[in-house]
Amino acid sequence: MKRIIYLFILTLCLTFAFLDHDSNGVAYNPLFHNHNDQTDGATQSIAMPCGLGGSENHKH
Amino acid sequence: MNTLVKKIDLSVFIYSIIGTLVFSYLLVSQISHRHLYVFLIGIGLGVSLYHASFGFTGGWRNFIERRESSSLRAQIIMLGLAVILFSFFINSNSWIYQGKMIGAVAPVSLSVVIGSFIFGLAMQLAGGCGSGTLFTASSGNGKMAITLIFFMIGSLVGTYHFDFWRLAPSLGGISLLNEYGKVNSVLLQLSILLMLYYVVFKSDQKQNSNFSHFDIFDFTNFKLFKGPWPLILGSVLLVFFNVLMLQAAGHPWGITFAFSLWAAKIVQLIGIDVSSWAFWKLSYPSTALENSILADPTTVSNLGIIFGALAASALAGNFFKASLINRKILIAAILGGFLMGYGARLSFGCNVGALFSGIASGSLHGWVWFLFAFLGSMVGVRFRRVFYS
Repeated sequence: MKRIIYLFILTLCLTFAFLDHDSNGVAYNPLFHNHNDQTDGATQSIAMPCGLGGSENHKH
Repeated sequence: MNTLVKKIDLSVFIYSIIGTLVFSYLLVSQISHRHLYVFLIGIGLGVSLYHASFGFTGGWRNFIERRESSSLRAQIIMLGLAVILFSFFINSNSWIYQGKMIGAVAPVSLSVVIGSFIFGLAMQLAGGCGSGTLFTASSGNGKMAITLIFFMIGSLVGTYHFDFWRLAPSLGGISLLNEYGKVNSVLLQLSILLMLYYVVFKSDQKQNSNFSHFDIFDFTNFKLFKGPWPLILGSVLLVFFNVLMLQAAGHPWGITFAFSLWAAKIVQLIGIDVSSWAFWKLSYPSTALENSILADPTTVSNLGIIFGALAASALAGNFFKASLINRKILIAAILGGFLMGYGARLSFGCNVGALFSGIASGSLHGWVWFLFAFLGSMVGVRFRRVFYS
C-alpha cells in the first residue's frame, strides 16, 4: 500500500510538471542560443544554471 | 533466471518505462531533441548512481570515522578522469549542436566557503548529498524524500537571501584552464589529486590491515541488472555521462538549480510572488520561472535520474524498502535537507554542480567547495551521532 502511495505522489509531481508545461509553454529554449544572440532585440547569454547567478557564463 | 524474475518489481519497472516513453515523446515533440538527449543521459546517471551506490556522503563519513577510503579513492579517480576529458572539450565545439561548450566556472567567494561548509555538515545529517538525495528518494526511500522536500525549501530560502550573499567578498570566477592553459592546468589538478590519493590511501593502510587498491575494481558480485556495480564502474560511467551532458546541454551536469525552480513554481501556486526577489530577476532564473519547467535542462536531467533510479531499484527488487524513521532521524532529514538546499545556493551548486563539474571544468571554486565541504562533513559526522545514536 505504501508503495502505491509513493508512486501516486510521484505521479502527482509529474502531473504538476505537465500542467506547468501546458500553461507556460516554451517561450525561450535555453539550449538553443549562443553568446550574444540577438533575439527580439535582447542580448541572451548561455544558460548555465548556478546558485547566485554569478558564474562567468552568465551576463546578468 | 527464475530467481531474477521473481525479484524484479515489475509494476514499478513498467511505471518507469511508461514514464520514460511519455516524457521522451513530450520532450522531443514539444521542446527539442537535445532535451531528449539530456533526459536519456539523466536516466544513465540514475541507473549508475543507484547500482554503484555512488554517494559522496557515506564515502566521506567512512574515511572520517574509520579511514576506510574505497569510495573516496573512486571519487578521486573520477575527478582525475573528468579533468583530463573535460580539458579537451571545454570551449570547443559540441559534437551534437553547433556551438561551444562551457565549463561550470563560478566565483571563489566567502559565500562558497560558508555554503559548502554548511552543505558538507548537512549532508552528514541527512545521509545523502545532492545526487544521493535525488536517486535514493527516487528509489523509494521515504526519509530521503522528506530530505528532498526540505532541500527544495532550503534552496528557495537561499534564493530569497540572494541580495545579502551577493555582497560577500569575492575573487570572481577563476578558471585554471584560462589562467594556466590546458596542459598546465590539467597537470596541476592531477598532481593535487595524486597527492590526495596518496594521503588517503596511506591513512587507510595505516589504520586498516586489509587495505587494497583493488577493492574498487572488484567485479566478483557484479550483476548488470541487479547490481551492485563496483565503484570504479560508477566513477567511469559518471564521467562518461557528464561528458555526454556537456556535449548535449552545452554545460556540465548540475542538479540543485532545479530544486530551487521547483520550489519557486510551487510557492507561486499558493500566491507567493518570487519573481520580485532579486535572484528570480536574473536573466536565466527569470526565464526559467516564466518558461515551462520542462525547458530547464537541469529539471530534465533530474527527471531522467528519477526514472533511471526507479527502474534500477525495480530491477534490483529494492524499490521502497521500509526504513526505520524515528523522531530524531526525521529531524535530521529535515534539518539536513534544508541546510543542504541553503548551502547549495550559497556555494553555486552541490557535490555535482560545484565539486564534480566545477573541478572537471578547471574552476577554482570547485576545489574550495571540496575543501570546505569536507571540513563541514568532519563536523557533521559528530552532529550526526546525536540523531542516529
